[in-house]
Amino acid sequence: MSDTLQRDDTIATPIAITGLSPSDSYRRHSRRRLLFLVAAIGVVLVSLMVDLITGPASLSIAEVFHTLLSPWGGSGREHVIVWMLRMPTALLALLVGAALGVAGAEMQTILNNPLASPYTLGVSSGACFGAALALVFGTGASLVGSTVLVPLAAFGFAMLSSATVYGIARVKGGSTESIVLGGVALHFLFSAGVAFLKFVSSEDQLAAIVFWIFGSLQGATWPKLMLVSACLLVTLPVLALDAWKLTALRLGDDRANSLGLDVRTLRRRILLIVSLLTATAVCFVGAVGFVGLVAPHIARMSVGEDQRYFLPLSAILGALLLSCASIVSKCIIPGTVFPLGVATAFIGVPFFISLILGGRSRFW
Amino acid sequence: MILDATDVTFSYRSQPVLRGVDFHAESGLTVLLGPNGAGKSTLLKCLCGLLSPEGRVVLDGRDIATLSTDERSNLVSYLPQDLSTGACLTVFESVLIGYVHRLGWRPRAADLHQVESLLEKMGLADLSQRMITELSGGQRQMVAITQSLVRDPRVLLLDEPTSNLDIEHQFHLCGLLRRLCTERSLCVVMALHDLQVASRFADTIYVLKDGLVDGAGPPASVLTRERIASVYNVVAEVNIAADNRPLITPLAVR
Repeated sequence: MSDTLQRDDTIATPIAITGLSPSDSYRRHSRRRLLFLVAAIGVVLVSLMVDLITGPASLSIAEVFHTLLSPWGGSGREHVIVWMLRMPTALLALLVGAALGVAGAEMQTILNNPLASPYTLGVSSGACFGAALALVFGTGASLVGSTVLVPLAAFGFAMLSSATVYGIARVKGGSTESIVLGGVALHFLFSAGVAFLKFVSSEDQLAAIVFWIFGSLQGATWPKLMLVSACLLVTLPVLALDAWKLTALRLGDDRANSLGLDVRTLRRRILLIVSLLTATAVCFVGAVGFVGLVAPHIARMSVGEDQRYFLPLSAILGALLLSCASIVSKCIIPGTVFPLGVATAFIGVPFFISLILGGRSRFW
Repeated sequence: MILDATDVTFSYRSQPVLRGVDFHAESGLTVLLGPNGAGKSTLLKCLCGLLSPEGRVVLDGRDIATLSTDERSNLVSYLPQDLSTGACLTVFESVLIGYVHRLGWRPRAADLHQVESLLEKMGLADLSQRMITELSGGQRQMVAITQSLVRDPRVLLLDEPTSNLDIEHQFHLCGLLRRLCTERSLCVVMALHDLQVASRFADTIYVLKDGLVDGAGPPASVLTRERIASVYNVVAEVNIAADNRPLITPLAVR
């Protein structure tokens, strides 16, 4: 064909190297990405095992494995430690990490902005404010107060923050600018609220607020796991159904509209899902923000932005990152659980910077 | 395929951009000309249904406002001026997304085959596994056009598709569009700034000024010295070549 643009001959292309037809190359790359996902799941399982083995109680690896293989095998010390303490904590790290990874991936997609994260909506600040409010005025010393009211208040204010941003976006026609600016404004508002609550709180309350904001997996219980799991089970299929539309959204609003997508409705639906995922995750473990930013970036570098691979890998990497952070938080100071948010940043930031500086080529 | 617009009026907030535009296009290459802010991009968006103007836009006798989103996007494809994207997608994936309305979790073999044959036809097969972010402006333009063609639309609306291209690639692209018009009975409407390229390739030219149609017709009848002076405020020499197309040489700002 004479009327075609000439390609840059100085750059070798895969087809020139492999001799495969374009559709065969596409199929091969799809298979590779699938394999990458399976391998990543394997690494997550290894991380889960290490997380279960790690802890202040001196259980040997054999004891942990033996206890794992007999979940209904008794009520001894090992059983309590593995099944009642470590397993909920380790699984909560995976589920919360997955939720934040997915939420981050979709925020970056719908806002067309790699700097976006689940917290762009002000969800984290809202949750912190809600938790701080409950810790200062609501809980006293009661068990119900600390285990129910704090997460409930965190969830409520996280959703309130999202709802406000959603409302602003709706009034302004669902533009990305209105979402980002609304989120930033609410972030500052709630941060100021938290600062005020710290100012008026007692020493104990202040310590509780700071501890909550640092993030922790120590409050993990099976019912909390059920809630986060349910949230993921409800939202992930919806996102999976929208996978191609979300991929197309990255081509820009006008192009996506021209391809027949209702961009505004899609963006609002995803905004709602992201809010639900983030609020559910944050209300149980505190502000662990870095996961939602970095996991999607690593996923994007690894498998591209076809959401059929990008979405699950963001979830898997989010889970892996928080699981590793859980392990590290138990190892930095033996016998003490280091703040999760700090541990996450300690692991994630160097790895992330190494990826950026390494100029890593595509895996696939 | 006949695309008709009657008395199209559109305002951004209270700022009128189109003021009663009448427009007609059939199979072939129609070019919209006019200075910045004349309303070319807005007219294209009205023609594809992205904007809802006053007046009527009719596609083969059917009001575009009454078409479902799927029907509309199958018939009319619009490429915006800004095709920049940071999306980490390969050329193949990018073209495959043209089928977004019907793609399942696993794309059908027939769709993959169709994408492959179209890439080959457009001379992009060698680039199929390259990331679109690695492509030049011209290559990206070709990928976007290929993505539009995958659904076999009847109308292709392009907003300044040659703005990032050197003269060789401008001619390649316009030549390709002309061939598509012939081979597929495609109706192509594109906004341009380059009068010479418009003169060389257009079947029909519409000149817009301040939201109104200042002139419409074959290049030789529209691109006159007087019109160029009144619309662009530029003094130009206009000669008619052997193929009855004007050769325009801008001389000075009036």
